[in-house]
Amino acid sequence: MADLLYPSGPLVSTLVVSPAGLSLGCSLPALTLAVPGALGFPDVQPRGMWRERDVRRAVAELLEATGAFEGLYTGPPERQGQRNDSRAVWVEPIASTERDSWDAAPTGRIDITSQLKITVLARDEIQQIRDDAAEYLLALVNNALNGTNLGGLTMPQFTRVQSWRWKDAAPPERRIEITFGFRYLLDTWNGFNESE
Amino acid sequence: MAASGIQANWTGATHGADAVADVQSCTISDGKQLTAFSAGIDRYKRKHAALMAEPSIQITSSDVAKIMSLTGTKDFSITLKDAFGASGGDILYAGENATPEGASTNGSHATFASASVTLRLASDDGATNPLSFTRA
Repeated sequence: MADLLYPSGPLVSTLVVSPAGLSLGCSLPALTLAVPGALGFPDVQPRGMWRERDVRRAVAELLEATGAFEGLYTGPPERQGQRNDSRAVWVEPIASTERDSWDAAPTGRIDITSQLKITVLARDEIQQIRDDAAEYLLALVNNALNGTNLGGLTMPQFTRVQSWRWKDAAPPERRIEITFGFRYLLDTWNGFNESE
Repeated sequence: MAASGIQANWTGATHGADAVADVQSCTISDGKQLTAFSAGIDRYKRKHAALMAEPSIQITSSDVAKIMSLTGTKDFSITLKDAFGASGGDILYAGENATPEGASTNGSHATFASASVTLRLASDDGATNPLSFTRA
């Protein structure tokens, strides 16, 4: 998922799949990428040392696997010089909240709730077609992501789309902003992964 | 750092060899029961005597399986931390002959479940308080 690190172009064109196949569901303990580091990705982190960026990558992988998007970005495509996709999606972080749910602090676990903004875009000259397509993409995002274990980190019970907002149509575009929530645990208060 | 003199958060809960993690709350009761005395034309109680006490400990944790599986009569201990985490500020509670009673599980939608159990403490000789606490 190079474009989530290097937002310079559509993700789908630079996806690297290992010879054994890239796991798009996240049930395996580790994803295997061909030639780690080849496109600038660091090696995948061991379980328990994941970062929120790994969750965003897992989201991107699942969205890419739908095959419905021409472009998958880390921000609005126009900011990256892309204005021609008929169907596009981008994933951006919003905010996280840390909660201390148990005693034994600061060696106890910490509970983190996070939100992402996922924006889908449909482009068509005909209003009905673009609105229907945008809603179709919204349904795809729900079905692809709800209840998943993203990047080996998130709890499926708390991983789902929380809300969405239709943006005013800007013909020939229609966008829907989706707020997506997930939750994960760290084993200790100082258990964040510091790898860059 | 000097101890704060106030306490926050539990740690190190054990029942025999069973460690209870993810403690959410713990209540320690000295279980003292006062018996009141009055006689004759008294309209108020004239004496309160502590004739009997039954200390107990109630603990709630997200470690549901552990709470529900506590069994047998074993010593229990738990530490109430100093709010600054300073040495000398913790309170170590020790309960002898702790027998679990009335374990229950509670889980609400979209929240972490928890389980609670009451441990009733018994004295070895009938005269020594089975509940003790020390600063450490």
